[in-house]
Parts: sequence; C-alpha cells; structure tokens
Amino acid sequence: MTTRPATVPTHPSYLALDRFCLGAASSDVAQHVESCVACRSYVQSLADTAPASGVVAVKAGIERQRRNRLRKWWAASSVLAAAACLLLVFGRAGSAPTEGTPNYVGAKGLLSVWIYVKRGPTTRLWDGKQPVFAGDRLRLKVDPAGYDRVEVYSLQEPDAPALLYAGAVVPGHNTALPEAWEIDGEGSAERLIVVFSQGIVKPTWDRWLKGEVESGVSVLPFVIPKSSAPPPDSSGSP
Amino acid sequence: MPPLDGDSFEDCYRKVFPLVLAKCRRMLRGDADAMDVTQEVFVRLWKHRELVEEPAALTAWLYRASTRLVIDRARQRKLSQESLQHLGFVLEDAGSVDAEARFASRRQLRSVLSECPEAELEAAILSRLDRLTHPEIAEVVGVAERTVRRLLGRFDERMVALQETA
Repeated sequence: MTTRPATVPTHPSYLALDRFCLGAASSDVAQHVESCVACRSYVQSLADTAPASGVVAVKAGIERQRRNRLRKWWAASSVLAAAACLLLVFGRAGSAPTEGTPNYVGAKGLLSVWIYVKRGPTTRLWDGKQPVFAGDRLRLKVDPAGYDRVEVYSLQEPDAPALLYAGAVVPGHNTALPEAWEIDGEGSAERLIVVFSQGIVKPTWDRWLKGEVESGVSVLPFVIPKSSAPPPDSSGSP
Repeated sequence: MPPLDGDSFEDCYRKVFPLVLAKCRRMLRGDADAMDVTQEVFVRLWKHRELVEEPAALTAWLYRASTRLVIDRARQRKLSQESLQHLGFVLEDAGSVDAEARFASRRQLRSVLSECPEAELEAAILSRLDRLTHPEIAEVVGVAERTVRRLLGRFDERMVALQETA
C-alpha cells in the first residue's frame, strides 16, 4: 500500500529530517541524508538558522498566558470544586489488562487515569459508561503514583497495540498528556491501554494481555464504547 | 510536571526554533507571518514543556500545533494576503487536480478555508507540504491510518469538485 504521495517518493518527510537534526532519526534517514544533496542542504539550512532574539517575546507571551490562566482559574474555581466531587478515578496499581476489569473509584494519590472527551467546544470527564462518537477527541490525565513513565496504546488489531504516546512523568504528580486522539467511526469500541513503568520497558504483549505483568509495570485497559449514531449536540454530556 | 528554568527553555528554543520556522515558512509566504506563528508555537509549548526531553513526541506536537495555528489564523483572516494566497496554492496543488488550474477567485479560496473540515486541511498540509507518510500523519494528528486515508481522499474529492464548479 502506498503511504506517500507519488510526487515525492524518494525523500524522507520533513518530520523525519527534523528528527534527524534532533538526533532521533532512524539509520535509514541518516544514510539518506548522507547521500542526498537536497536533504543535506535542508539539514544544513536548519543548522545555519540562528534563532531570532524573540525568546524575550516568547517569555512575555508565556507570562501573559499564565496571568490569563490564573484569571480563568479563579473565575471557574467554584465550578471546578463542584466537578471534583463527581470525579471518577479509574485504574488501580498492578491491575491486569483484562477487558472485564471493573472501573476503579479511588482517591488522589493512587495510580489513576482520567479520560476527558471533547465534543465540539465542550470537554467533559468520561463517566466510564457513556459511548463516544466519531469526531470526539480523547485526552488523558494521569496520576502515575510512583511510576516515572507512561505509554498509551490503542488496541485496534488483536495482539498488536499501536503506540499513541510515550513520555516521562513525575512520580506523584498529576499530568495531562499533551496528545489528544480523535475517535473514528470504525468498530464498536475504542480500546486504550495505559502502561505505567519505571523507565523504558519493552512491551511483552503476549504476557501482558494475559494479565501477566512484571514488577515495576502496571497495565490499565479501558474499553470505551462507540456509538454509530450521529453525535448529540456538543453541549450535551458525552 | 518538571520545572523548566529559563536557561533550559532557551536551550530548547535555540535547538528547535529553526525547525519550527522552516515548517511555518513552508506554509506561509510572508516571513512576518511565519515568525509570528513560530513565536506563538513556543508560547504554547511552555504548557507542554515535559515534551522537551522526548524528541519524537516534541516534533509531533510542534507539527500539529503549528499546522493548526496556521489553519486557525487563515480562517480568522489573521494572515497577510501573500500568505493566504500561498496557502491556497499549496492546498489546490494538494488535490488531484490540474496543477495549472488556480482558484478562480479569492472567494473560492475563502470558501475552501472556511468550509473544509480542519482535520482534512491538516492532513493535506502534513501530507503534501511536509511530505509526511500516512503513519507519520496518524502519529502527529492522533488518529488511525485508515482515518488519514479517508481524510486525504475526501480532501481530494472536495478539491476536484471545487475545480469542476469553477
């Protein structure tokens, strides 16, 4: 299957070249850059680009953003306090990745995953039951407890989870993952697997999917039902 | 979230700035527009500063954020005419249409920018302008590869239909 437009079949993407510049490219890309004048020229042009003095402007923008966020936070504090009472916390340290695992309700400080559903302009916490619709976007917030790394996988194909996100987290600190994932119209459920670990671990799905999880790793599965009906009004509850 | 002091942020800025500016220049003709969007991307990056230690996740986020910012600004008419026109050429070349054909009018370009779903515009820019493969687009946008194929197919159909009605 062709996965690249026919007009540019020979060069790596700019994303791959940018990753090469940051030292995160595959050996194939490195070999290509070595032998390709055009790609080498692009990489060299990046090396020759001096950052503008605009870091001061960026810092000013960050400060402005922080002040705006504080104002919004105060305005919304009463709403947040009420919402916190209804917060459902899913997951439990050491739980096995079986689909039938009941959702766990617990207090802050435990290994936890919050799933937020954005539909139109409205973002709400998933209640563990309501279906999602094509076009909805999911975003996760985690409390990694004592773990320092989180990975999120989508189980679209049996036994072949696809990595959606991987990154470091600070143990004991709630962290909203920077990625959001759009729900497509395929299938009857979205299956997410959240893996917490101490450092990078090599997934052993054949064992993990049977619930055999080694020490230092926690694997939390979530099955989010999908509806094929048209999504309700975005102001409604997901 | 780990604290990121001023020096660390400046290090990140120096390292990543050229990549973001190059990406913005591919989308926008006006250098002022490209610089403006680049600055805004870094302001937003601060909220996601944990990405700084993960080059793959960082670059995926930068591509997504900069593309969406440009689409937003194009829709809100916050870009120069030069940049808008350049983006229009990029988009029409993205479709399976005669490369010689051009938007019949500015109104037609505005129509594409305002009516085409953001997800389609985003996939088209990442695919045809940034040369991303379908798996790369899926990673950047956060959707399945089959969704990427569907988005690009719909975009092509939209562009063909647009040219036919011109």
